[in-house]
Amino acid sequence: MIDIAVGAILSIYLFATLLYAAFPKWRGSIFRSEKVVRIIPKWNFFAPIPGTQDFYLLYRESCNGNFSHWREVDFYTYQSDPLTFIWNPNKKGKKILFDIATLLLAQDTTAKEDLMRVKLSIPYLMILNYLSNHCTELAENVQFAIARPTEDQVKSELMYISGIHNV
Amino acid sequence: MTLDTALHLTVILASVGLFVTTLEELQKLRLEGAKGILSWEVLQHQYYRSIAWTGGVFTFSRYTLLKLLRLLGVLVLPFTFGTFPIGSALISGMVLFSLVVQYYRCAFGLDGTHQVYIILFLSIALYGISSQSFLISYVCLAAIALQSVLAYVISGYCKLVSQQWRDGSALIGIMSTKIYGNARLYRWFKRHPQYSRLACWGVIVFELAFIACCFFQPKVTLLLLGLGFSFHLVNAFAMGLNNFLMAFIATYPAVYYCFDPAEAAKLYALLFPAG
Repeated sequence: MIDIAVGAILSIYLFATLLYAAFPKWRGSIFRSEKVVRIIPKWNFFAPIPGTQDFYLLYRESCNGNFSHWREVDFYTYQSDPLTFIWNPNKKGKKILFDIATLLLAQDTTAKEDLMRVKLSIPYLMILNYLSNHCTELAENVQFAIARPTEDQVKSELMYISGIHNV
Repeated sequence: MTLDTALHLTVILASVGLFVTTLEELQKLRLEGAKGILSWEVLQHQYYRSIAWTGGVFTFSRYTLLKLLRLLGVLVLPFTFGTFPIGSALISGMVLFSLVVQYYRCAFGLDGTHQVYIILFLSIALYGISSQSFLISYVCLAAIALQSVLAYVISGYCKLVSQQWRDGSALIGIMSTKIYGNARLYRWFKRHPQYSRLACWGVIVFELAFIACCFFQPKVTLLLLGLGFSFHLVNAFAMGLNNFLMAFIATYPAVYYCFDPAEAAKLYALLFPAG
């Protein structure tokens, strides 16, 4: 009996993987729950749309109505390390920022109600919570932005600017 | 390669890979604390209904404990596997539980290797609670092998339908980034875009060809597994994707064993006995 259950679980998991990959248009109707979908493997590494841009998380604080310059969040480092082929803990921070920025920028902000919805979204709140806990003591408000490098890799362009929030 | 050898190798490789990955995560634990970017105080709002019963395991202190238990578990598992079946099943089940908890707590920052480890430890844990007969043991390994083949083939197909991968600009773009890129390779590919196109097509062909492991044992399988190891090793050096190397080679013993015609013949004889 247990063997049958084991075989069934592994078969269903394999079948779900195949179904998820083979019928992208049906994902919403077959896999209704996002919680279920999350556990199904998605084997599309760097494809069909490869990640070809970096995102920077910038923030500025204000005190007595005066805003500071934009600063980049430095919770991960860009330094290259010859041992990264074995040991690379820094990739986690970079991936977190990439995932959050991608999700935030994918949200529609054309309508006013969309703007409010974005401010209540998990990626927005994650960034806001993080910055609120890492501002300087004198900061009264904080604002953040998502930027990406321009094609020449020299400058950055702002992709999204948040509202101004009390710290 | 015998069934037992394939199972043991799978457990050892999976445990080593997950040990390094978990140690890396523990090194960056502050990202998941109350003041970190992955604070549970914010993440809990992704669930609409009350999750008081799960909140215990998602909070920072208990989640950290779970990761430490996972670290201990993968350290011990290679030694208990085969000698203490119930203990091994409990350990691998606990490791699987910690991986699933991590996925549901926050998927940000996770990548495909997390999915590979879930498949590996799901199969190992289910093997542990099964009768461990030849048939069910083969099924558990086959689940790993087939998922591994699917991973390469689906990935290859997704690249084949991508204009950026077909024209070679994908690699130039990826190498230009700080997240996965390599400045030296970027400059070289930019100067020689024809080599970027060649490399892109090389990846596409290799990934799609991986399905040949199912049919052309043993020389073609060994060749493809060797290419796979080299592919992941290059990615580890060039892009810092060390965990892909460790996670995917953990599936290779299963791939080699399950598609061995002699072993498949044994399975066939078991399922369809003569007379």
